[in-house]
Amino acid sequence: MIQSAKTLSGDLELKAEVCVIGSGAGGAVVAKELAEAGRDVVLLEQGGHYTKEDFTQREEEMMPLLFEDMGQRATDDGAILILQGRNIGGSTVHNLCYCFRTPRPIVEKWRREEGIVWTYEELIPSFERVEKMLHVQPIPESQVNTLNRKIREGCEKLGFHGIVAHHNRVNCTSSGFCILGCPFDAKQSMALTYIPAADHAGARIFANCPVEKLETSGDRVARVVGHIADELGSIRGEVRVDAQVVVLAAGAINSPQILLRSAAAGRRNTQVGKHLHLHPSVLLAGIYDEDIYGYLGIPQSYYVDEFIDLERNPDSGYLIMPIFGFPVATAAQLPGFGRTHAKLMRLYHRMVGILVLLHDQSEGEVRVDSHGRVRIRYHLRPEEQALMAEGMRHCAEILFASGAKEVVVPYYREPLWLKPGDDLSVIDGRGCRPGEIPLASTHPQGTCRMGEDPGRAVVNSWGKSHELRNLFVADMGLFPSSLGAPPQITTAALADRVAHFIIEHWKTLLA
Amino acid sequence: MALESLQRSVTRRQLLKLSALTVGWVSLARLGLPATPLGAQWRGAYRLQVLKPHDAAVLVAVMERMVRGDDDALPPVKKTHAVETVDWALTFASPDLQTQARWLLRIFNWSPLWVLWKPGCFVNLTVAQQDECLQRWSDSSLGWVRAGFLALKNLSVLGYYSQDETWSVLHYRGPWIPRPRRVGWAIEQGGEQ
Repeated sequence: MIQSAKTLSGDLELKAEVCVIGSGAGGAVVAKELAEAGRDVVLLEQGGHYTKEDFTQREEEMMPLLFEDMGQRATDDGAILILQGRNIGGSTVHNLCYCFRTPRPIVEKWRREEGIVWTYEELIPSFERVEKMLHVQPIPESQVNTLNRKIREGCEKLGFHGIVAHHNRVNCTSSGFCILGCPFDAKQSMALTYIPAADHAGARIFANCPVEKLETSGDRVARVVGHIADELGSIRGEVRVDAQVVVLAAGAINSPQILLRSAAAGRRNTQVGKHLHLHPSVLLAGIYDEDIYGYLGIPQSYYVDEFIDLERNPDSGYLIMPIFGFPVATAAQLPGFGRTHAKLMRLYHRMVGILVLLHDQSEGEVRVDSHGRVRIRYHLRPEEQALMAEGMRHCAEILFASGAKEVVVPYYREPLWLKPGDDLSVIDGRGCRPGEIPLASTHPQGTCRMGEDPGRAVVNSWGKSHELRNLFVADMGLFPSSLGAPPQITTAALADRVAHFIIEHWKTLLA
Repeated sequence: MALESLQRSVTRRQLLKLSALTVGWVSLARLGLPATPLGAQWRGAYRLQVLKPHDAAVLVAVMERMVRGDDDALPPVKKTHAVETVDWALTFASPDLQTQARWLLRIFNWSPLWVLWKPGCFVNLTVAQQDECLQRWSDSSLGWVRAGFLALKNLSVLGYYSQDETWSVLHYRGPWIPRPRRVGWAIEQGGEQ
């Protein structure tokens, strides 16, 4: 049984062998694996617990429930919107189900640069366990929607390489509401797979319990401290969990926040919160003469990997992907206002959205200010701005090659309205500067990174803290560099490794 | 972007300074005097949870020019529950964010003084002047003013394009499974959740 603010009353004082903080792609896996291994697990999730009955398929209702800060979290300069889940299942409840294994060259880079001790081959059993639980399978051709077909058609004409991806959906109805929570339970999110399994194995799961900090005693975490807060943020009680092992899996923005709030004076790993990568993305829209109805069907099934070759260069490149939004999200992204904007919105059903997702070397940092609020700084290097602009030009080429009559590049000031035959190098000229065009991130990562050198990393190759003997991290913060691919499977597989390390070394950890 | 960015890029001190420079809004507010002219008040049956009645009146005017812009095929903002929806959604925001949303609407309403050098509030301008005011915010060389414009735009589209009445124009079919609207229930209850 999953408890929430609706069922909890008063303060919560718990003892457990393991306390897992966060229930997304990392925390859910750890909770299930440890509970099935016989450990007494408490899982705390800051957001609510929602099921298909709660998913109303309406943006204005789901955004406040499923996303951090109502979907308005952003970098300090406001230039990059950061979308993260906050509910049982984390971002896996709203994600678009791309399933990629960690690219082998990225694992090799991590081994080479940060001394990661395991190999790609050693990660394979974790991939297999995770993929089995999430029912990962190829997306059938019949479920590639019109929007994705348009992008594939453009790529084929241009000779760009692309692939129909794998996903974690079962009996998908192609309703297209994935990002607002699947009302048909087709999406195999953590909330439908690992969380019920953890629950079945005896884990005690608490929603609406944001964690404030960890209290330490010597070189161990002694207690997890937080509160019970309802949907509107009203505090209903305190939460204190005394645990022998603590696993932090609150995501790459919230996990470092908790650590930074917890750090005793003079005792703080200087790498906490640093090395933030965002996989920043920028989108364009193509307008067609025919009806597309981009909101219908699986939103992302095809992707373009022509411009990323991690074997040759594991440090650079970008993916091109389809994207589409419901009316509110689309209206927020389209340029202008008033009549111009309304005119564009009338073409909503004839639009194709396409985005560039950067494998970023640019870095940022998560900090906590004197008021305890999160601060997110990120600097997109000029050479990577140019790379994103190059990607935007290729996106425009793809849209025109598949028959777009107009392409909109949504710069805030003087957006570009391109016609077939226009010189597309104008996009390179305008560039992709933060603050001048909408940028977004759905993959913040790297803020508690793995590595064997405590001077460069927060945790070791198994997610174990270099500072605190009974603390582990198991979320996207672990990544020592940008992943260069959608992160769901990598996050879950790394969490699986963390869990099995804890299981195998349980007695040592308690010593 | 939106409110979160405004919150970070504009400090409370900056906002205070700005409003004090324009019309002494802060002083008026402290004295409990109306921050908007008489008549520019929200008069819906829904009891506002976050916004004040004069904030809601400003939001109606902003939405009308921001998203509808005289497109007769789209329903007038006042004939929808767009403002109620924004107010309802803001109940999920942090207290800081709620405060900044109110401040933004108040400062924007008085901004014609320093944007257009015209006396009066946004709600009382002609349509052409309102459009010019929005354009100046949109094109401002000051990053935080542009962030304010984007925050207003995000609030506007959130309220307006979440209304079923706008969807037929977009050829958007809406939810597959009819479910009771959470916001709809709140509106029927007059704002109580």
